[in-house]
Amino acid sequence: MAISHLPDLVDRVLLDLSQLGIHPAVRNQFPSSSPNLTFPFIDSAKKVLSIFFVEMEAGETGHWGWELRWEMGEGDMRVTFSVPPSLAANPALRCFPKTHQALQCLGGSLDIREGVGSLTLPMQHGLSRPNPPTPEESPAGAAVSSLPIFSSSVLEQACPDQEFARQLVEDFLRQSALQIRELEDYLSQGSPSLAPLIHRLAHSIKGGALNVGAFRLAQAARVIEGRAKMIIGTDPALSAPPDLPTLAELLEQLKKEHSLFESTYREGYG
Amino acid sequence: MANKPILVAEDEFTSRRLLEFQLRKQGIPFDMADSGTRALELFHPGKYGLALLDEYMPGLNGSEVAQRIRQVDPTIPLLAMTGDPDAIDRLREAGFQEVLLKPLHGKAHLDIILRYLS
Repeated sequence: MAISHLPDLVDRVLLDLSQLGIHPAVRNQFPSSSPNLTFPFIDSAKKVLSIFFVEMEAGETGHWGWELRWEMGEGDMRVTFSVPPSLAANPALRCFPKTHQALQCLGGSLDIREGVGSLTLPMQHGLSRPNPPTPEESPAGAAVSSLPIFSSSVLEQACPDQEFARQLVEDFLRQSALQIRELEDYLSQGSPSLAPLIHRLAHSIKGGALNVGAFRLAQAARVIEGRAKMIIGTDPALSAPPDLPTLAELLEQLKKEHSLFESTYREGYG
Repeated sequence: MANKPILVAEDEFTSRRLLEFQLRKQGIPFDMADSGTRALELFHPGKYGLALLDEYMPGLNGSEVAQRIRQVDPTIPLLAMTGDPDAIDRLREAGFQEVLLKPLHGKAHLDIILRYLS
C-alpha cells in the first residue's frame, strides 16, 4: 500500500497495529484534499501516530470513541479531538506520555485543554525524494519500523505495580531468548515438518511481546508466525522446503528486534 | 456464583503471569491451567463461576476444552481469549459467550469477568 496522502498514512498505521491486535476506537475525518506527503515526514508521522494510537487504545480511556479531525496546513499536520470528561489535570502527560515525548523531539506538540485535544506535527520542508520501497517490497525489517520498540505506557497500563512489571519483562526476556534459540535449532534442521512448532514458538513470542509493550518484536514474531503458517499449508510432498531460507532472514530480524527491545528497556528502566 | 473461583487456561508464560496479577488485584479467585488438558483435569461441574480459555494452546485448544466442558455443564459461562480478531465469529459459534481480544491490557476484560460472576 503506497503512502502518498494523509488518509493512506493513517490507514497504514492502523493496519500495522491491527495486525498486532491493537484496535483503537477511532473515527477519522480527513480534509477533502491534502498535499502529497514526502518521505521524511511520512517516517516521523508513522512513528508518532503509532505511539499515539497505542497509548490511546491502552489507556484508561481506551473505550472512548475518539473522533479525529485531520488537517494539513502549509507547515504542519494537525489532528484535533474531544477528550473524555475523565481526563483531568495534565491529561496529555498522563494518558499520552510517550506521544508527548516523541512530538517534542520532532518539534511538534500535544495539547489538551477544555475538553479538546490538539496534536501538531510540522512537515519537514526541503527537497522531497521519492518514497522508499513499500514494506511489502523490502525485507521484513522495513515492515516493523513504524511501530514503537517499547511502549512503557502500555506496560504500565497492564501492570501498574512497577516491581511486578520489572519482573514480568525480565521473565519475558529470559523466556523469549530461550524460545529464539529453539527457533534457531528448528530452522537448522531444515524440515518443513517442524513448521507447526516454529509457528507455535513465534505465536508465543508475539503474545509475550505484546504483553510487555515490545511492539516491533511482536511484529517480527508475527511475520514468522505467518510464514510458518504458509508452510504448514504447503504440500508436504514437496522435496525442497519452500520458505526456510526466508525464515532464516526473518529470524535474524527477530533476534535484532529482541536485542533492540532489551537495550531500549534497560536504558530506560535498568 | 459471586464467590466461586474462575478456571483459566493459558499456555503462554507472560500472559499467565499477567492474568494472575490482574485477577489477584481485582480479588477474583482462580485456578490457572497451563494447557487445555490441565484445565479439564481441574474442571468439575459446579466448581467454577466461569471458564476463561485461550484459544490457541498446544494439544487441546480453547474450543475443544469448551466443547468438553459444555458436555458436563451446560450453564457455565465460557469466555475465550484470542489474539486473532478474525476468530471472533467462529468462537461465538463454538459457544463462547464472550471473546476477549489479546493483549489484555486495561480493565475491560476484568469488568466482563465480574459481570458474569455477579
